[in-house]
Amino acid sequence: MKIVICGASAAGLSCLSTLTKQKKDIECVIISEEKVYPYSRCLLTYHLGREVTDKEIEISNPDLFPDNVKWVFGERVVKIDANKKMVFTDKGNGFEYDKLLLALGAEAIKPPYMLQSDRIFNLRYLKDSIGIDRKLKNSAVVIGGGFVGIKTAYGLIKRGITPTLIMASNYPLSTTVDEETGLIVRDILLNMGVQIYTDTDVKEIKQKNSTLYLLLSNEKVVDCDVAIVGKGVKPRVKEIDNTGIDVKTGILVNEFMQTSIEDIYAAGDCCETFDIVREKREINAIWPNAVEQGYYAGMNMLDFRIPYPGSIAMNSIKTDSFHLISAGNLKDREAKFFTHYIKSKNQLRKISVKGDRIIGCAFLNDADCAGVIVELIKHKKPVSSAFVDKVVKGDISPVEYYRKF
Amino acid sequence: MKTVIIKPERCVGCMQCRFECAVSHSRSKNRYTAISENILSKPRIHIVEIENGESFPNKCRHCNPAPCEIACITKAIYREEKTEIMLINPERCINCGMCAMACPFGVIRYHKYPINKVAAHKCDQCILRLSEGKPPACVSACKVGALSYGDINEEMDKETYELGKVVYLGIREKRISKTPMELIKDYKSKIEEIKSRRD
Repeated sequence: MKIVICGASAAGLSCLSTLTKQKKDIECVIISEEKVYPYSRCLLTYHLGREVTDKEIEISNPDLFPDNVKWVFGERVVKIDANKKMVFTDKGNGFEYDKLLLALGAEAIKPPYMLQSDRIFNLRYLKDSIGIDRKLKNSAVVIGGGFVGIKTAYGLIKRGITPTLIMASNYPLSTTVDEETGLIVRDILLNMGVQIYTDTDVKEIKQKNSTLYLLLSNEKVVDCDVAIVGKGVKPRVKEIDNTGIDVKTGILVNEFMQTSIEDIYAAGDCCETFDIVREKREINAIWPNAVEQGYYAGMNMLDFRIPYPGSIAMNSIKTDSFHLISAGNLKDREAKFFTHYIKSKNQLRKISVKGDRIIGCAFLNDADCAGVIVELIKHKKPVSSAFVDKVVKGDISPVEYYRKF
Repeated sequence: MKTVIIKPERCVGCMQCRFECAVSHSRSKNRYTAISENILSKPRIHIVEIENGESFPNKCRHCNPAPCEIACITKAIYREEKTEIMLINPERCINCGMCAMACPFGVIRYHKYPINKVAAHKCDQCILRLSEGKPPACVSACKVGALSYGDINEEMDKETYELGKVVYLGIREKRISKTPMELIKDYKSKIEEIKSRRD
């Protein structure tokens, strides 16, 4: 069986290692746009903060894979012919397949002002991090208050540069956590020395020599060496425009990770999968979900027929001064919230419950059993509100759930 | 795969396993000097106190596929191929906290390793002791039989055999009295009664 994998990041690599582990007699081709060995995208903010080197960022060594895996680096998939079962790259090479995995990933959203200067970056590829490294001297602005924005800010702090954080919402992490948690995170960031502008957007950008001047919507002007934009990602679906695969925002897949064409599978940030909490198709573009989807795609390619249970939105951010884990939906108006905040420890536990199910949680500086709650969300386990109340107050450990049932 | 088998109903919460675990992962591996080391070794097994004062030993299950391995963005968490034990490479770990979010059993903590770096910290099934032919430290420390080391299937076979024996005894006892039991619960209480008689 010939399998072609487009994309050598989280989902692609996970699928490849699943395939090679399960079956020996398959021919795999893995096509990567990058010219370097596969690296972990999530580590880029740490790379920027010089905590990991160019070598440490690599997560897979192609030399260690068996001979039946062919690696193609530096080629971009431009056309997929579903009738002839062929994939074409920009260098004119064609690869035949029996089964195809689209792990095209997502690309960072580029606001229009990015075109005005070469000192405004996203942080999505290794070349971005290297580019920032070259141009950064002593000041930086981070635009966007999501997980990537805060992680980038932390990376800059690790370098000895205290950045300015500009966000359009009124508190950080506004897409994932509720206002209370967001404001606590904001206070922590302020304590770290980060200057924060909330409810602000960039109106205009001017460049003089090697300094950028950002004119904000509150009429203030911030000057910096570089600006890093972290305004979210959007799936890369341009490559598959004329193939007849169903696409909404991302590639639509069924529970076996198949697209609307039977032999073409999709996994990772480029596809819309079932969201367990919101109960509809969503894009939860995070590394663990992509790896998981890659695993399920690989297994289903080999006809094991294991349905993918679905993903949830979750993320973890850890700095020297705080560790926040958030998962599920914390912004549901109908949900009941259980909150416990210990000011002296700066510790927050928050769980949102709808009916008899936990639908969201946020754990600040108390990661010990956050995973158990995430598991309960993922598997829609029924819980009593007394249990949730005790867990939030710290009276019992959520591990008790395993003892009870 | 051989693994540590936990019988929570036997655990009395004495924390001996925690102490031995910390000692066996310390630099000196000696009970008297381990406590004076610069970077204190931390236990990798947790005793969770639950309702009614009962205790529940909670440690890494070495799942397959492992959620922590899936979530790890640096591939610091990996499976040792021969023994199928999940291990953490503290040198690769960048302490991002993803594994704590992914672990469905809440066993991952973040502590300083002897290499002077904070990294994810969890049970390694005493892989060094195993290579010396010794059972894991927590198992040799447990005095009440809550922790044992063996093949899970063999252990379950043993339990099934035990259960089968008492069920057989229960049925035979019933045949003598000639009044069939209506509920499985009745059988169970009968078995309990026979069991206590045997002790």
